Amino acid sequence: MSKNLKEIEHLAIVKAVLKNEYPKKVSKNFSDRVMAEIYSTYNSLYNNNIWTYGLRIASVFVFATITLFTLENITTNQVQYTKSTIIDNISTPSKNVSDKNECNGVNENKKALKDKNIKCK
Amino acid sequence: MIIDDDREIIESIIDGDAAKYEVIVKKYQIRIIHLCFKYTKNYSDAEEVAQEAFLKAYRSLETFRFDSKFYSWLHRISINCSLNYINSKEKVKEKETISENSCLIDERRSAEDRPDEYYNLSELSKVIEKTFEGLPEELKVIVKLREIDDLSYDEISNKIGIPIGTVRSRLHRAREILLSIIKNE
Repeated sequence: MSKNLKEIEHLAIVKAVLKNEYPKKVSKNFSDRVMAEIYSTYNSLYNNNIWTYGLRIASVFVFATITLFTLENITTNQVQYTKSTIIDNISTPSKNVSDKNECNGVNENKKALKDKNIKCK
Repeated sequence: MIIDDDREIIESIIDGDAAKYEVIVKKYQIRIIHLCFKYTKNYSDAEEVAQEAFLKAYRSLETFRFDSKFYSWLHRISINCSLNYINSKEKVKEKETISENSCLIDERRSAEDRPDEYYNLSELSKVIEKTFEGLPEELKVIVKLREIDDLSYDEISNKIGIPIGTVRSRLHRAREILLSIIKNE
């Protein structure tokens, strides 16, 4: 790996020179300083990926379960089932109603008609 | 083996292999430091800003969408860091006295005056350029297309009309010659 890295570094120098994009001098330990900073400060940034993925999957499952539970409770009717037959006796009492005023009118009409007939006779 | 595929490297860094970031740093450090130097006009500050740019890129690596070259993305970050540096330096300048500044300059000079800790690129570039000019024409063309024009192997193969295997082998030969100079320096 270190031989490979050295080769990459040297090739970068060649490339920079050919592209005419180089400063007059560059520290040999520049990359070491950057990597030391990364290891000391950001080591955990991408290192705990298995834990992160596990956490993400777990949170997806929890969220899905809560959603399903909520939807189930909201949308389903509260129907209670029973094995026995339910006999629904309508016990509402019925009443005979009469509209007296209306009947009076009818009777008056009948009476007037009777008087009219008698008159004619 | 020279790794050209940044995508593969970046994906392994995001997957947890932080050590692979060193490949990225080594691959682009010279050009990024040069870019920062254009703004800072000071080698020590240029390295400091470049370091900040590499760290910022590392922190934001997950947001890189591979819709452009990684170097272009890093280039943009470096410019932003350089501009931030200039702004902050202007603020510091207002506060610092002249005597404090002179102390800082002296400190930096003492660090820069250790030649074994630096690549002297002004010397090295003369040797590299001379060797490049001395390469056989068939190798020189490949190196130019690959290293200067950033063409892919396929593009070079189509442009010159030679098989991709020949492109690889010629580039390998040319690189061997050019790299041997630095090893000997």
